[in-house]
Amino acid sequence: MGVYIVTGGSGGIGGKTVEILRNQGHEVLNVDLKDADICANLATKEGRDYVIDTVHEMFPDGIDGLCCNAGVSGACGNLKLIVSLNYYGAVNLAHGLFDLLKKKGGSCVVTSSNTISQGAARPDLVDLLNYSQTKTALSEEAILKIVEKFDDSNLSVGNSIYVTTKYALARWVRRVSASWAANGVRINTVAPGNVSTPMTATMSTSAKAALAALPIPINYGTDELMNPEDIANVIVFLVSPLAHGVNGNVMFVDGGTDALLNSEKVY
Amino acid sequence: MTLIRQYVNAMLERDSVALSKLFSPTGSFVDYCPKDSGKPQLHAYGPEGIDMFFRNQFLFRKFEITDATIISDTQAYYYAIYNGYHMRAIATIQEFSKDGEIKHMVVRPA
Repeated sequence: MGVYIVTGGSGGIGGKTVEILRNQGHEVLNVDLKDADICANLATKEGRDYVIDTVHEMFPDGIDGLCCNAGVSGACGNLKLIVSLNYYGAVNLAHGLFDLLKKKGGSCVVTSSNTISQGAARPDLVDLLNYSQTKTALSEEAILKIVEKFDDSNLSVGNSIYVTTKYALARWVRRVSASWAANGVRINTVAPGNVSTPMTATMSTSAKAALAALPIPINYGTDELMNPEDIANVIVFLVSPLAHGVNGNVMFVDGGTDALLNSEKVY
Repeated sequence: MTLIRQYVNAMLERDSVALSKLFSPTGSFVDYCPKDSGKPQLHAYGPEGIDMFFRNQFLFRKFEITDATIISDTQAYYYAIYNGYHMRAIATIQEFSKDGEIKHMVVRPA
């Protein structure tokens, strides 16, 4: 049995991922803001460093999998939090735990979003985020200063920043995937559709109305969102050795929404 | 009322359900106009798919039509607006099902 780290595992998709992995007999460490095995704020450098240090202390021989799932919606009203948690909370943690994944030939799965295909991402900000791993790039703090100038009371701005972070995540995964795989570590991303989670349950009425415009073909004729376990099952598959041939993949797990809206984009 | 008139009415009223009911179970909708602005063509298949596709398009106002003119039992001109990009378009029912529904609808730049 393996050792798996799941962020955002106290509820929603992450919670189901923890549950399924534990039911399979694995040792699973849930990293979340509260009600977790490691309570930490992944939106901060201190929180991420604490998690990286703690996991190294607990599992010096390596880990089998990392599922970066922690995130907030575009309707959370805090643009800086969207960027620092959704993007840096995944990318910097994955970089910090890469050596442990490498020790065991492990795998990483990052949760993106099917909204990445709908054209709302800001390309300029995606570039800033993706280049932020280089020494000459803007720091996280500098990018957050740019973001704080935007109108956080505008829901479409929040959505755009959310999509931007998820797009940047998916592109980061694609960019590093070849090198990581050559070092024995696979990395993939899932792009869920609208899922019934604590995050979507607290959305405003207008945000919920926007969800209705993104039909989920497998739930046609109902108002139902995707179930968290629909996504978690795919995450568990991708992070497992069964998915050995899958690397650098952005897997849409949205009940067919992306295919519905973008059927002509085969690749 | 002819199918092309019902099609235009549904488009003008942004009624995805009414639009979807005009199509046969294997009916398809293809719109090549977006290719003029470097985007892929629009494609939707089957009544349920057409309903869901246009529900999204209409609700987010990604797509709407104005100033439609019916020119025959199978064709209509209109101005189509794709995310703010205006185009003169011609919609053609290219094939009917044996039950008299739309089997294949094609929209091209006019």
